[in-house]
Amino acid sequence: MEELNAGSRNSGKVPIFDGLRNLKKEDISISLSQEEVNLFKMACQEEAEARETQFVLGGGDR
Amino acid sequence: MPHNIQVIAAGLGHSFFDFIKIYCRDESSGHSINRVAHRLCSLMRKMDVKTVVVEDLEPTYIEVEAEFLALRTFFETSLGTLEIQANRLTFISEELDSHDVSRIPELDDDKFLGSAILINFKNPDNNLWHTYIFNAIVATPKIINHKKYGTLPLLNYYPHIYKNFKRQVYINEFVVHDYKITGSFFCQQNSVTSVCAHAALCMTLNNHSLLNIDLVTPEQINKTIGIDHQKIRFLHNKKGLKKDEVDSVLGKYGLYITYKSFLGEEIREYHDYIYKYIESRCPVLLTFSTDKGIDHVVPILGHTLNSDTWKPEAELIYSKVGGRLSYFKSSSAYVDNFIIHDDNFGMYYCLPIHSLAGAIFELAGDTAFKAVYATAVVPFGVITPPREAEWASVLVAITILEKLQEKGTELDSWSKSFLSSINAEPPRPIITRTLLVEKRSYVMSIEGEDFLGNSFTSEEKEMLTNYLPDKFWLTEMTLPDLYTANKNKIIDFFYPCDLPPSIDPAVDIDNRWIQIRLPGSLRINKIDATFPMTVKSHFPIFRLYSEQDYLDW
Repeated sequence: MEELNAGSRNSGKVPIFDGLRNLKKEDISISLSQEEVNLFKMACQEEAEARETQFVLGGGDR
Repeated sequence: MPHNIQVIAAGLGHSFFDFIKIYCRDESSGHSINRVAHRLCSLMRKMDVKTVVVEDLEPTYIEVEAEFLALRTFFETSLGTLEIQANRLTFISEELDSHDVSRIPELDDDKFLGSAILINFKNPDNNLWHTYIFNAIVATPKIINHKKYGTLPLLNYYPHIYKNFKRQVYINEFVVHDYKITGSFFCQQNSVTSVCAHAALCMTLNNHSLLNIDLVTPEQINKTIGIDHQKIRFLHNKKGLKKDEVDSVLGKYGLYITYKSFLGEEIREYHDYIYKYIESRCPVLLTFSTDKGIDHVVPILGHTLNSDTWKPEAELIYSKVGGRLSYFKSSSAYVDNFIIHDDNFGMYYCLPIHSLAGAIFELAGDTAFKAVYATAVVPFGVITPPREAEWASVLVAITILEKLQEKGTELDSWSKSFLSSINAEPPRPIITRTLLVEKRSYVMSIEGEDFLGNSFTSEEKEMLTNYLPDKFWLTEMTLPDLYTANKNKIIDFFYPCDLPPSIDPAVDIDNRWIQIRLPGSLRINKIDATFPMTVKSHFPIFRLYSEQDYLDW
C-alpha cells in the first residue's frame, strides 16, 4: 500500500477497498426485474434489427 | 491555374451584401437569395474578417475539374457550352490592400478564417443561374480580437468533429501560399449531379479526424456507386443513396454505419442516441422529415451544453418516476443544441434538440419536421449499443455498492452520496456519460488529480489499463453538482464495444463487463480481482487530449 500511495498528495485509508476485495463474483452478480429484462431486450433487439434495415439517405431535396 | 487575383476589403464599411451580389449569380440575377453565402459571410463577420482574396479558377483546375465535367455530362452539352465559373474566396482577419498581396505568406495560419470554392452555372433547362459552395473550410467559430477579452472560444461550445486542413491561396499566377485551418469542411449539393446525401457524406468523411485522406468529392462518391449522369441521373431515375451504396462508400475508408429509427415514443430520446456517438467523435448523419414529403439529411459535428439546465433533476421530482434505471440521467440531458452543417443553409448552425422531437400539441398526421432516423459512422467492429453499456454500468454499480452496504463495509462519502441519491424519496438523479474511448486516450486522461490532489501511481495506471481492449465503452457516473460545477466523476465503468447486442442481459452483463473503478479501488471482472487506488475523490471527466480549447461554465 505504501508503494502504491507514493504518487498521492493525500495518502490514507482506502475506504471501500477491503470490503470490495472480500466480495465474491456471485455476490456482485446482477439481478434484473422482469420489467428491466424486457426493457433491455427490447432496446437491444431494436438496435440489432435497425442494423439490417434498408433506407435511402436523403431522398433528395430542394 | 487560378488567375485574376483580387484583394477585396471586407472590414467595417464594406458590405457583404454587395459582395454576394457580385459573386453569387443566382442572387445578382434576382431570382434567389443565396442563404449559404450569407451564412458564410456572417460567420466571417463575427470572426472579425478584414480582407477577402478572390481567385478565378480555370475549368481544368484540379479541385473543380471533375465537378465541371459531371455537370456538362448531365446537361448533355459539349465542352465549353455550359456557362459555368468558379471562384475561390479566402477570408483573412488582417487588413490588406491590393498592394499588400505579397504580405500573405507572412501571415500566421490563425489569420485565415475560411476558404471556399463557389461555383456558378446557368442551368440550360430553365436558363437560371445556380450558385453553390462546392467546398469550404471554415475555422471553428470563436471570438477574435474582442476589445476587452481578446480571442477566446465560445462558451459551452463543443465541436467534436473537426480537423486541421491544408489550404492554398495564390499570390499571383505563379506563387502559391500554403496554410492550415483548424475547423470543418462544408459543401453543398448542386441538386443535379449530387444531392444532400453526397454533401452529408463528404462532410462526414472529410471531417473525420481518424482519416488522413485528400478531400472526398461528390464525383468520387458517384464513381464508387456507379452513377454516370447519363443512364442513371439524380432527379430523373435516382433519389438519394441506398444503404448498401452508403456502406460501399464508407467501407472504402474502413468505416461503417450503425442506424436507429425514431418511431413513436423513441423520438423523445433521439438526441441521446446521437449524443453518445458525437461525444465519441463518431460523426452522425441525422435525417428529418420535411413538409415536402421528402427527407433531408444533415451531418452533426458537436453540441452545446447548458450546465444550468433544470430538467434532469426536476423531472424526477415533478413527474412520475419509473424503475431504478430512470434514476440515472444521461449527460445528454444537459445538451441544448447540436452543431450541424445544413447544405441548404450553411455551416455551424445550432439545431435546438427539441426542434425535431415533435411538438407537444401536434395535429394528427403531421409528420413534418421531425427526426426520422440517425446513422452513426463508427470504426469497423464497434457493434455493441452504447445504451447496453450504460444500463450495465448502472446495474453493476448499484449491485456492488448495495452489497458492500449490506455486508457492513464502511463506504466513502462519495459512494454514500451515490446510494443516498437513488434511495432518497423521491430519488435524486445520478448522471451517466457514455462514450467510445481508445485505450491510448484513456491512458492520457488519467494523468490528472482528483479534487483532493490525489493522482494515480504508475502501477495503478498500468493496472487500470492492463485488461482494456484497444476500444471500449466508458461510462462515467457522477452527481449532478459534480458534473455541472466541477466537471468531475466518481465512478468509471468499462464495457466491450465489439459484442453483438445482448439477447440475454441477466447472463450477458455479468460476463461482459470489463472493470469498474470506484473511489479508492478497482475491480477487474475478468480476473475477479480488486486493487487499491490512490484516487479516492471525484476526478476530471474524460476529455480527449487533442481537443481544441474550450470554455466551460
